Amino acid sequence: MDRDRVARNRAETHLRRIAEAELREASGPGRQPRPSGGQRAGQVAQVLRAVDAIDQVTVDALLADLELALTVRRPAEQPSLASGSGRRRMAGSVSGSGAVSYSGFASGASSGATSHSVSASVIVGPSMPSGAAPSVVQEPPAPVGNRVLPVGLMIPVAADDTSGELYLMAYAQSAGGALFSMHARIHEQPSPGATRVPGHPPGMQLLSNLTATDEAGVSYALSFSGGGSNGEWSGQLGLFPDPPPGIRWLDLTAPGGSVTRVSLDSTPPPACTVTESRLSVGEQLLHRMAVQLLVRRPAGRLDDVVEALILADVLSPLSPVPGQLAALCDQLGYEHGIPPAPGSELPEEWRSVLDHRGTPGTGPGFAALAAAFPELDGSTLTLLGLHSNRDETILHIRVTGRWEPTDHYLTTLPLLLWLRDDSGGWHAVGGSGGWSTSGDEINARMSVVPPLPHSATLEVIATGLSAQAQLTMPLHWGKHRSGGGPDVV
Amino acid sequence: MWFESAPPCETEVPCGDSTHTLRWEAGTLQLPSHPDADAELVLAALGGGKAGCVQIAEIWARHTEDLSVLAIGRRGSADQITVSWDTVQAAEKSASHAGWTAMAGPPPGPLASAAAATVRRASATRFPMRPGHGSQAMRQAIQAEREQAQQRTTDHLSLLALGPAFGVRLAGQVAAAHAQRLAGARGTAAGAGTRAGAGAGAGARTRYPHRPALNAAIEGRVALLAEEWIGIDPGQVYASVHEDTGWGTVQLTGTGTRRRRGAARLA
Repeated sequence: MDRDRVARNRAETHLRRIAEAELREASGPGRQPRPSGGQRAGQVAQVLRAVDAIDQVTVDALLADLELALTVRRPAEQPSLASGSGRRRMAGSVSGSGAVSYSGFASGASSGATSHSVSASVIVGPSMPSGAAPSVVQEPPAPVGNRVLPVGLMIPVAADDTSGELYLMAYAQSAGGALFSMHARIHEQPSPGATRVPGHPPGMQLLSNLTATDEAGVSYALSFSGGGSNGEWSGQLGLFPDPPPGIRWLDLTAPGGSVTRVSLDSTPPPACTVTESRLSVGEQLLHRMAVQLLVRRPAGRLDDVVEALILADVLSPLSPVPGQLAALCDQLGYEHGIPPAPGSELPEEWRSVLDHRGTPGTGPGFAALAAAFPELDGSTLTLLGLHSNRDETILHIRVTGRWEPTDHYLTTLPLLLWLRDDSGGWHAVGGSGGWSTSGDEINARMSVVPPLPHSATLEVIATGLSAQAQLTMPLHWGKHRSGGGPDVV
Repeated sequence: MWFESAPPCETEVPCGDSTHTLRWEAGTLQLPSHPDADAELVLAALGGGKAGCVQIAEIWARHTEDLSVLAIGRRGSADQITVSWDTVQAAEKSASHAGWTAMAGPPPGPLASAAAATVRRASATRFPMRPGHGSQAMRQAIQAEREQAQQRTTDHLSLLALGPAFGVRLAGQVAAAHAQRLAGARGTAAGAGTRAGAGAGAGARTRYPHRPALNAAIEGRVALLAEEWIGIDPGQVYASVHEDTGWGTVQLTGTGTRRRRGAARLA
């Protein structure tokens, strides 16, 4: 279509203008190259990709040119864009907070998974038109062979000088393999003369030596993939080889020989309501940015983004959302560059999060949560549990679709995600606390802001570009504890 | 022809154990030390070594229509770019080691890092698999794309190492090539319009996929001139490819005598 072609040309021109502006800042007398050079263009490129207003080949070439152009203008002693870029730093395996990530099989078999525990700036956002009328109510149509069910089991683990608890939250099986989502608390009591495996913290040693046996007597090795620090580990335990699709239980053997039976009886999935999204594509993207602001940090030059979306014909110049975003920035004390729109009222969800930011968490705990959403615009989302530390709540999810956590510091999840507790409080989901890939699936642990209270029910809204899906499910919280037997929740 | 206003220029380039002169004149790159470059290419194809001068001539030929030359190259006389042949060699060496191991950390030196980073970028988005994943075919595809990106980066560094005089002439050649293509596209559109009885002739916007890149290249250069001559914010300069008869137009919004005089000079 001609209109589409014109919009795409405008979008690409806008991106190139920003690249030129960044290059001007880095060249010429009296101008100093900035370590963050290329960031504006990178951000707008992500936005335009997210709304499919530009193709990936053009973006790759443009950013590669810009990167090289900036580098050849940078004095030799300056740090290079390549080594200083946040995106590439995120490829590391140790987070800024010192958390360690790990992936591997104790048996030496290839897990086919890589893990990252990094502070990726993730935005996940709302598209929560208040009062949207449901159009379809359906059972989440899990793809053939896919299986997801809550587990809710605390298993004590101990070996030599370490002990702790392993909390299994959910079991999921798909084309990418079978796994338990988990959280663990491991305590070390080193005995004199005990030897340590270099690079293998005590928690890893325990989590890397779990095995399982199904009702047919088939044995499985469990591979931990995730991250952690200070004795807290979270992620998933992958099973190798893949179990058959219909197994009913697994006997999990922990280091030290204790065996715990994990029931894998299927439970009816929560009903899911699907409605048409009432926000435009551009508005949805701005909502994602709002969540980014609420959860983590300033999202860069928002005026660039708004202009790019308008030029790409996916955001009306009359849309109220840019003004709302500007108002949100003002409240948070972030610069934004968006022209003021007096009288902009914040959406209910944003207001709720703002009002409760800084609310302390309700303490350690975990919830057996498992639900698969229907496919939304080519992406699928599966909820795999919640766990709380002292100050934060982490949502475990699995996503398939177009998602590159390392490369998306602006828009991460291909779907927007909001939670609402049973007292009506909204919770933004963003800021990956670590992720790992398995085939085309990504397992991630997302921050929930503000921390979720130990709510009896949870409403979850996931939004794609054209539709949003909503489900409500009961939550059964288990408390963290030390010692004792299995604690079914 | 576009190059009539550009005088000949020369530079020294590494060639084997010595340096040779490379010359540009009247739109053509010349290798005075290699009078029969074609024969050398045949020998190279048969397994012989390829002379450095010949390699550079090949790189030049590969990029005479490459808009990346405009995106990376100098915007004006104050725009300083320094790339030496040592850095080109370092980048070649670094990029050749920029396989999966490059994920672990940046290689030394900004230019070498840029080369390796470009190589990583090439496959990171289209092949989201991680080390150890994927079929043999996938890994081969990733490797091929990385090699292509590596070649592209070292090509551009080599072209920059030739110096600004060669840079501006290559930019001229690229611009001329695209002007010709655009004129061809316009002619095709006009013909189609005439046949269809529609007004697709003079003034009509032709379908040309590289228009945004061309516009940005023009704008990036004109903006610096406008800033220097008129004193306006270069971010307020908008330029686009002229698609009608004549040489184009300059339009200045706002007021100010000095700026008006400057705009006339710019025009």
